[in-house]
Amino acid sequence: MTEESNNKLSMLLQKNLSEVPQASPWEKARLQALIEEGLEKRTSFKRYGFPWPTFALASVLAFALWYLRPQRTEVQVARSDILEAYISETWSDLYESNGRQNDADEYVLFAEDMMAAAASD
Amino acid sequence: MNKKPQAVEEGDSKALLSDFPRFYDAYEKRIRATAFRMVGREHTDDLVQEIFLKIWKGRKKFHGNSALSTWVYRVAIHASIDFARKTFKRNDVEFTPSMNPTPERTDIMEREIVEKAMAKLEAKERAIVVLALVEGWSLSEIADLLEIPLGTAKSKFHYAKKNLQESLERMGVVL
Repeated sequence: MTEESNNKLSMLLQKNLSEVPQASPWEKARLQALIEEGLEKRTSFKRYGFPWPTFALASVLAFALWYLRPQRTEVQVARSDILEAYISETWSDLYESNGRQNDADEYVLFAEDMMAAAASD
Repeated sequence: MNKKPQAVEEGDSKALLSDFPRFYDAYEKRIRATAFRMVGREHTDDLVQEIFLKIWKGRKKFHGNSALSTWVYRVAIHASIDFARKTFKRNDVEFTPSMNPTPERTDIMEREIVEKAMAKLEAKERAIVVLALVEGWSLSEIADLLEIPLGTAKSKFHYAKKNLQESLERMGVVL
């Protein structure tokens, strides 16, 4: 780069980078508020708009709900297993007898029957 | 030329660092100017906020071994380099004129071209160009500020000018 180009570049940059945009009138107050709020307490949770105690409480609540989720009784589990076995067995029969896997209508009817039977038990 | 600013009330620098409104008033213009030159108009406000928060958070690290203005400027320039690295990818910035080139709009277009060409530089190269060509720092002062060897500063400055010239020429500005 020649001396002349160097000077031209310097002048071009000075001309176009010297007019600094003004600060918004509330910038100082906004920064001060952030600082007074306590930078040490700023965590990633803040980025999502809620403070860490809310996050902690929500976590505890979520765990409690998971821990206290309704448990299925032994009878319900056994019935479900039998139903599942029956469905898969019947499906195999259907597949073998029809020679095709996607006999949807029959399968839907069968499933509806089974659901009705299970509901009436 | 915008000469590098002189120290601001160094006598009570510790007191200044415990009074945010005073500190802001003393350094806002200088920090804003550096931020603007480093990342352009669009990102200036974000970078200014990041620099002030970084300085305030780390103010206990200032032990008075150097002038407060030097320490502040060091934090500001390193924060600017980090910000620029995150914000720009070298070949990401393409220039699309935002308006037709009528004579009265030429200045605005030229400013856009310069900002885009600067954004194409690698962050540290940009810092060196701003400090050397706009703010009037010597290369040895820049090397000290950026904590790099003088030879590295010289070679980065050389390549930065070359890249800048090429980018400007691609956008129609011949030096």
